[in-house]
Amino acid sequence: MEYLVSNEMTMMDKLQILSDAAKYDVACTSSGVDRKGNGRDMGNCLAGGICHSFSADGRCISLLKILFTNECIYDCKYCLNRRSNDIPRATFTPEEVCELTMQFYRRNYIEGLFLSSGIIQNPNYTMELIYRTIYLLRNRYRFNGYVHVKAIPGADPRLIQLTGYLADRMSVNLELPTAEGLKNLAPNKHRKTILKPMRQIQNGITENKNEIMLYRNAPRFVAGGQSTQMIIGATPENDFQIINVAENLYDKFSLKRVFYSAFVRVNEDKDLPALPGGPPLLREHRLYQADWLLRFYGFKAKELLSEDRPFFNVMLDPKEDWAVRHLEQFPVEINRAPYEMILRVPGIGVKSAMRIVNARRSASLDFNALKKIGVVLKRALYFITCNGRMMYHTKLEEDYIVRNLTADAKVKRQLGEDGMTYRQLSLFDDTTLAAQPTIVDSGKVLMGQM
Amino acid sequence: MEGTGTENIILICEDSMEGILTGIYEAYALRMPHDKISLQIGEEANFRLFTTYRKVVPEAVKAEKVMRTLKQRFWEKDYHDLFMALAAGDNRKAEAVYKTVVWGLSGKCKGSILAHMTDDAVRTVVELARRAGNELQRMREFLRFSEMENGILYALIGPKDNVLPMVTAHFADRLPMENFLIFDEVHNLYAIHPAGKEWFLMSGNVVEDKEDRTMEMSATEEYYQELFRGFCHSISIESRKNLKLQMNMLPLRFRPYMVEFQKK
Repeated sequence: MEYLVSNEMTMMDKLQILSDAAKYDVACTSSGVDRKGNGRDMGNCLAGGICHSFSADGRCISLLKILFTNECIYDCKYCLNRRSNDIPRATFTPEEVCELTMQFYRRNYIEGLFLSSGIIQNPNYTMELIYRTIYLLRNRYRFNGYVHVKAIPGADPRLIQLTGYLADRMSVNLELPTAEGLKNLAPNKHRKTILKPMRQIQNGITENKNEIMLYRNAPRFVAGGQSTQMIIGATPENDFQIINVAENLYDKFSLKRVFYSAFVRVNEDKDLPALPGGPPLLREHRLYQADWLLRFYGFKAKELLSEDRPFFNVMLDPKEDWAVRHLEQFPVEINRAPYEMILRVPGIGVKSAMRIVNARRSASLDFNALKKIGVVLKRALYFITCNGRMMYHTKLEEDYIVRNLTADAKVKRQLGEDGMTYRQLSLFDDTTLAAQPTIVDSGKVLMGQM
Repeated sequence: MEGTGTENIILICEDSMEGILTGIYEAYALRMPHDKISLQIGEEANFRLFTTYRKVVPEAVKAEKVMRTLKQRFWEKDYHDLFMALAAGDNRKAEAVYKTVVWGLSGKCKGSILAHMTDDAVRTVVELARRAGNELQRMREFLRFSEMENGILYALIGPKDNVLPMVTAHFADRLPMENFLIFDEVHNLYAIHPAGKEWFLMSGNVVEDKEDRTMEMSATEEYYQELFRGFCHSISIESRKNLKLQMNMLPLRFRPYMVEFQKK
């Protein structure tokens, strides 16, 4: 019966079903690998990655993100493709996936392929299908672009090893932050079987690095590193647990990225939380901010949160939150403080901190100079001094600073309909222009002076 | 000339890499204090007093000499950024690059010159380089090829800065065995890449004189465009819909060139 259906399906239907089924996978980055073209085959990779489009939810479209099939023998409660759901099912053939990838790539629609899959028959069979597809893509279609594949937990380690030599990035989904949550919502999955391939890939990458040091032309194994993702808000874990898990993954499994996915209630199930306010997007946002602090700013999870304060502040971002609780370390003198300390000032990022450290070698910096080199002072001004001076007469008191930092957030909340506006990082800060006109201003308008 | 000691000189350069580099060469050839000289692109509307205006005719030999010096004397990253700044569609670039080069060659500064962002000229160069670099990245991202009936890939772009050479280099590396053609309609430039051969640029006027024919799309082109449009639609999560974020990441000015935003 099902065979009949899938035979009648057009490519359009299949792509629609299988990209729709893959959309809750967050990892859509094409970064981490720098590979020049070889002058013959199609494709190259840029370390920074390339986003080719942005969908209506504002997420980037970088890879052709599809499932090989949305048939699944598992029955995870949070998943749209679970066995007990009555939804249209479809399966690609390896050739179809390759053809689609090549044609899209040629037209510069995508940066490569992201291939995941529901579990068909058993993990081994599924992994074999994935491997066959990637093998075909690399060897017959001679595709040299970016490939991200999922390692299926429970599959034969040899299959994962072989796939790793063809892929740029591999990932194993952690699904939920704790083993307990996994047991409740994904009865067929076990924490152990998830961590096993993760460890295997980690070891593979380390060994491969040693090989490459010895033999320059040794084949690359998962050159773009390994990532994972977990669903936030489907189970009752707190933020402290989640960032501890993330920190562990970075330290012990040397992951490149951990992705957080705000839980979207796609199934009706009594074990799933009701989310009247929609997916917990603000929480996801705060976790990503904290994730950045862990990876690039030298913070530790236990500095950001603790058992007594297990959740992030809704009003303040994690760095502001940390700073106002550690005022004894401020103000920071811009002209003398070490790079690591400048990095801890709210509102100053990696780029600004680098610029400060570089620029202060040739000239002493005052606030004007900071503005000129593109450092945004809106939040930083409460925490820094230039040659011993604060920018304004601000007090170094927790209440005072919090009030000022959040005053702006309130205005934003009134303006933006969802309470959050995401902005791409930019050098120049133009949100301060939204000042309300004063009575004098409106008078001037009436008099025709303005 | 009498009185050149007190007079300022403005060199008017052509808006091209060659033009500005020749301008820098001529500025050095004047053997005058550099603060008396400035470079400018195009004609001046408000003429200044006590100032001599001189036109600079671009010369490949002189430009090449300057280029060689810069390559030797500047850090690789700085050298790259100077050239990115020269690609920017902004008239401040000639003066900013000139003054940065003067400072860099004076030997007063150790290490990377572009790290000294408190200097106005340096800051302008960094800003322009960053802007042109962003535009280049945007083009790598948002350029869309369509396949013509003879198998040639064709793309139309409209970048603010003159980044076509860098864009073409990227795609030549990526698609070595494809015949492709990119047309920059803002700067009226064609980039042509024959399969397996070196690519080259051509001014739009030349191409139009030669031949004026419209190309037809290949039979399968419409099919793949439709597939991609469907993909972009189905990959989006309805309950996370955020058009403002989409707008921030992908401004409207790029959309007319992209298949997924073209209504059929």
